[in-house]
Amino acid sequence: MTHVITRSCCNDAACVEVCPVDCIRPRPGDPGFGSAETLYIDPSTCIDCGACADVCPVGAIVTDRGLDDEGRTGLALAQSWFAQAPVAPGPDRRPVRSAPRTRGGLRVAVVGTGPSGFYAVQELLERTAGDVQVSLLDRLPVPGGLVRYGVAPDHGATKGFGDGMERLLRRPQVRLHLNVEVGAHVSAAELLDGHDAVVHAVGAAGERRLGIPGEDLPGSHPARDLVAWYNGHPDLDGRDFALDTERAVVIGNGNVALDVARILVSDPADLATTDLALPALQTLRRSRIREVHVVGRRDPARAAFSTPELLGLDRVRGVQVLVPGGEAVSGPTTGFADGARSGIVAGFAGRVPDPARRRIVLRFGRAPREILGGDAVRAVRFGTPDGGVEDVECGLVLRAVGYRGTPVAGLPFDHARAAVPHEAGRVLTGPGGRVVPGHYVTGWIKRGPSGVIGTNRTCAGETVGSLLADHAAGRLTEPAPSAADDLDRLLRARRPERVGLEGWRAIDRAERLGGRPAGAPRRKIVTIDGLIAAAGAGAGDG
Amino acid sequence: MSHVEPAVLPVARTGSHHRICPLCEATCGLLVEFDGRVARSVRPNPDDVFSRGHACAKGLGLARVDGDPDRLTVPLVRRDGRLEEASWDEAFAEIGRRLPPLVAADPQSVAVYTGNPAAHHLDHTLYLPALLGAIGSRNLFSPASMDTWPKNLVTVLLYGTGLGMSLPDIDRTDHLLLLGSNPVVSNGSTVCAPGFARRLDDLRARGGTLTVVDPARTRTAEIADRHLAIRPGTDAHLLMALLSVIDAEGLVDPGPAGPLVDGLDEVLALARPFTPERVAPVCGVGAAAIRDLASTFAAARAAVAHSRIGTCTQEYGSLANWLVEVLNIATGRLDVPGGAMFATPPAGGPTTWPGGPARPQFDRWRSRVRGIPETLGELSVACLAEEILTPGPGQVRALITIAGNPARSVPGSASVERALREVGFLLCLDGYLNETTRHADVVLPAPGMFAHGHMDLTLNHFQLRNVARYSPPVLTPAPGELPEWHQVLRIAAIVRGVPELPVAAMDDEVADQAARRAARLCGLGQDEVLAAVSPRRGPERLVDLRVRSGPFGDRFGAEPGGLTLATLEAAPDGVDLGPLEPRLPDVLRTPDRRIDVAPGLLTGDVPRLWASTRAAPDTGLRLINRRQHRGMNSWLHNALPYRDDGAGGLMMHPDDADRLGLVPGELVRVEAGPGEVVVELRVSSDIRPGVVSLPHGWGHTGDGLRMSRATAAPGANVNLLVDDRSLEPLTGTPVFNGVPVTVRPAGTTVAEEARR
Repeated sequence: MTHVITRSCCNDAACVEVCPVDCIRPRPGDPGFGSAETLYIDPSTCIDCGACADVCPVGAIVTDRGLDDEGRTGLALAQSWFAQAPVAPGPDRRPVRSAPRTRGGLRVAVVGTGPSGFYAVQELLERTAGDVQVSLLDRLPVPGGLVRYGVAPDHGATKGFGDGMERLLRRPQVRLHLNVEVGAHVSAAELLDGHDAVVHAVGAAGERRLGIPGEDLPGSHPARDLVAWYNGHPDLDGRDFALDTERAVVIGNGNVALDVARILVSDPADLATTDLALPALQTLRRSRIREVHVVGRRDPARAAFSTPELLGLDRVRGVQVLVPGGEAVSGPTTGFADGARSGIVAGFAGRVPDPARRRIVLRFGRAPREILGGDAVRAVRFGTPDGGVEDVECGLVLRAVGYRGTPVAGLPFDHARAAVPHEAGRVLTGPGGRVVPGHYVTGWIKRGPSGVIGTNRTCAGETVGSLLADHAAGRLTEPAPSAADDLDRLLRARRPERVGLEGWRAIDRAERLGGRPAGAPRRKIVTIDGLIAAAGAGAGDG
Repeated sequence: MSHVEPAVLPVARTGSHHRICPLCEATCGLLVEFDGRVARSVRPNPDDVFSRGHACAKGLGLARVDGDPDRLTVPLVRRDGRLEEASWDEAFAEIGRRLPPLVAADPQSVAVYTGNPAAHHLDHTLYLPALLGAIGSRNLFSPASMDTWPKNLVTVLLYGTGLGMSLPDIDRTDHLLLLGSNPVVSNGSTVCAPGFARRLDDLRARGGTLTVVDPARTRTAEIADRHLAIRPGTDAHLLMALLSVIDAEGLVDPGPAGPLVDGLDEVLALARPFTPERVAPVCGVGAAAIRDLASTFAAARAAVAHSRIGTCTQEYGSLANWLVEVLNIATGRLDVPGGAMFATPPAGGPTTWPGGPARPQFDRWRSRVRGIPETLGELSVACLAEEILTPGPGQVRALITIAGNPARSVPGSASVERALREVGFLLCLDGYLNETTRHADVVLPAPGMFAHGHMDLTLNHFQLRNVARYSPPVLTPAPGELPEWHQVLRIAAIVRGVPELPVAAMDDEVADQAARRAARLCGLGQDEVLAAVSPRRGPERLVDLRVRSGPFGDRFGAEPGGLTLATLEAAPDGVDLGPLEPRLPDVLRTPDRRIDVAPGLLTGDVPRLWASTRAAPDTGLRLINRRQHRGMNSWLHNALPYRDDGAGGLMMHPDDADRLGLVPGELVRVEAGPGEVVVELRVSSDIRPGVVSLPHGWGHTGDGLRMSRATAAPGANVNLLVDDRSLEPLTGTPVFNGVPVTVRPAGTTVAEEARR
């Protein structure tokens, strides 16, 4: 009997720390941890104690008694992982958390409430044993960042990550300032004046471009916009997407590409019980899309999606996953995940299309050359491995080739890397430059847009480690004793629409109650005005 | 004053050492790797004759418990209102100044609270009687009164001793009916069955049936063939209905135990009106399901019912646990393989020693304030605070706690903590500065986890297989550490007014007493048996006396090949003595050596049960308790911490959350008679509507704690909600399961603020 990690694994390795027999791999510090698709429990070592399941932030761990499809998949993946990388007997090599070390009286501002900001606050609290004051800011009136606006609505378990974030917001050391934009309402320098240090955890706000003709034709959108739209991001308020075409093409085949493809062909009745935004749901109900092509440059083994997400695609009700036979073949594979992916894709090949179902067609070895059309998208022209071209006709193109960091007001920026230059999280004046005292980065704005939710834990650990070392060494400038009150006063004057924890609790409550009639976990409020109104009397307090 | 240096034992350098886990009743065999004095890793012992490679997150966390930097290592004495580090001599001097005058004035003015870990520790098992004898107080308390008492009482009345419980022979049964127990998480209780979950898998793999009766879909219920999501506190009703069906359908057959059983017809007559139709609305379980369970259980080739804490700590605890025995007896399950059997404890005990109590160990005296009856020599913990806080002759003025945390474990926490603050003298033997010991006048720190020998003299009465295992000490006590038995005997000497009496002399006194029993059991002279166990001293001498005079012992040479402590030391994986064997009638210690299944004390409580079937259906929320994998009451949260206190949230069914307009993740205020807590709401259909659950042992808040990780995720203290006046009427066991509560939005966003 064993426990099994299922699809929603967030890789934050809380499970690794509590496992009494050290049977979860890869561990932080192990080769491949940073790039692991998911963590695995060794079924032959697991003693079935359940400690990991207790601490999993996304409820991804189950026992193998009565596994469902997804569970069986997880178990099979774990078995094949350990077949190629058996757990070597030997001493426990898990990193030991060092005892909290602090000089006391530390005051830190964390900008951004997504996963990277969350882990920064958590690491600060853990490593100082709670001897820290944190101002936590977000430009939106709601916390959560990509947990709220990036995770697909049908990935409910992953959304459970928000429960842990919520507990963090309640900690007495944390003061929440939502609807406050650094740069607009308070400058980075002002923020640093009021704190020993500022940790910027603002993510990557832009998208990578294809750099091909027709990219900006009507009907061609960044996938990021579609994601933000169906997740009810207020920046997309009023936008709509024309889904009056039978075929859409998603360029790129990472997990975001799979997310948008899945949402576009899912039965709206199923989506209605998720937290998908209502305006998007209404549009999806009228959608004519029958088929989505997800097109990548490389072969299946080197595709960007993860194995669990690929397998999850094949479990969507009323949807068939197809792969053209000639494209399902991969070159020689090296890594575990490469082999797993190519094997699964090969299994999809040769299926007979079922006209009764909507389809996701996975395409490989095709590089986008041009988006064709006059007034609007008509097709995408791809280069094929044999040197030819193929035009895939479609009325909608979604460009899912990655996010890209954008400059942060008041900080240096490395345009080549599209990230803030840093050394172990300390902001530098430029790549290889001097340290900018007091400013730190974590998450995508530090390392570029890669990794999953839990990757940010290790990342934040490094940054907070640097911050605490600098604090201990006296390299930070202490704020005035009145700093906390000063910041409150400044925000009251400059940003009366600031939303605090009370306001967010009122929003959360309204949204969750709003979802009940439809059996959805929440019905998101999708406008800034609506959110501020819902925050109601709570806004500005707490 | 100076203390006796402990005997020098070899210090572990490196390598693997066998260790029986001292944390819970599963008693798993572990292998501990040391590097000098530091335990580096703990693994399950695959060769242990009993646990066969099973262990859990708690036991394998033993190195973290031992190495917890917050663990106390130096005695503390309160000076000018502050606990300050002191030498052992200073600590004993302070005890000598404060305690003896109180004992001299009135022995009843000194109370002793013995916590759960003490029951898993040889030093306390063997030497506490010397201290309690020296004090001479009847104000003795332990968690038994909020855990097992209803079961103990029934066992006393039916079989003659509190420890001689019938055990579910799950390895050989075809149908296991579990009530109020979640062994997949808890590892089982009042039954030592390491790898309980694996045994349940085996039961199902061989075609057997697992039925779980529990208001929540626990991890155990999840793997059951059938789960009856019963209303809290109605197990007795259900059991009565099972008996009524079995009777009506002519399925009663007491089997081999039949000739020893009296009163069965009387009980069946009492059960008759409790038809499934009658109890179904009370239990919230369909009548058809009850009928089906009754006939399936009775028809099984081998079947056994087993009840645990959920059935004990409730309104009808004694009745429920009695009716489980009656069900087993009426269907011929008592003392047969696959049924309810009795263990043969390898070091002996009340069920192997001849003779027995002249009268049941129940209600021989009563508590001073409320007149609650004594059970097995102790009073209900529900009386602890009032005995301290209520003035008058016999008022408790000093409290000794041993490995216990009544401030969090005992209901009515508010008054318990007030009592701890106000009691004249508080002496704590403990490893942590916790919610109880922070109020102490003197704290004596416990040595680490590996400096003492280990054998479960008490729990061996609950073993599902007859095995004998002993773990010798691995380490000598560290500099500055004093073994618990030295501490206990030093305090006993102080109380007796002979503070200078060497520990060795005290030990000899205890050994003399033990030798008298051993000699009597083996028909030898006291000097002969003492010579046989020489030169051992301390706990090992006492264990050797018990093992050699025990049911498998060598009788000090008369039975060559029989067990001795030396044979156990030479067999670190344990000695397997075979499956449980029928023990009737020898196991009985009732005055007439028969089983009266209709004792007046219990039958007299049936009208109360009947009356409850006529009451209006309960529409409010009822709170029950929830088990956790890495928790052991209140004391492991620092060594095995949680990242946040989400694990301590209030579990509620979605229908109730909808009805009350509550949303998951928000803070809610849970209110009950004695108080309120603010906790996170967790919504799940794993719990039945009308019922909410909280785990216990949390609430690590307030000043003066030294548990840095536990206080970072403090959780909420369920005992602020449990009423020390709401007791099961026969035993005085507090009602933890089925507490009426209301739940509403907390009206605050910061849990810590609400706690202040």
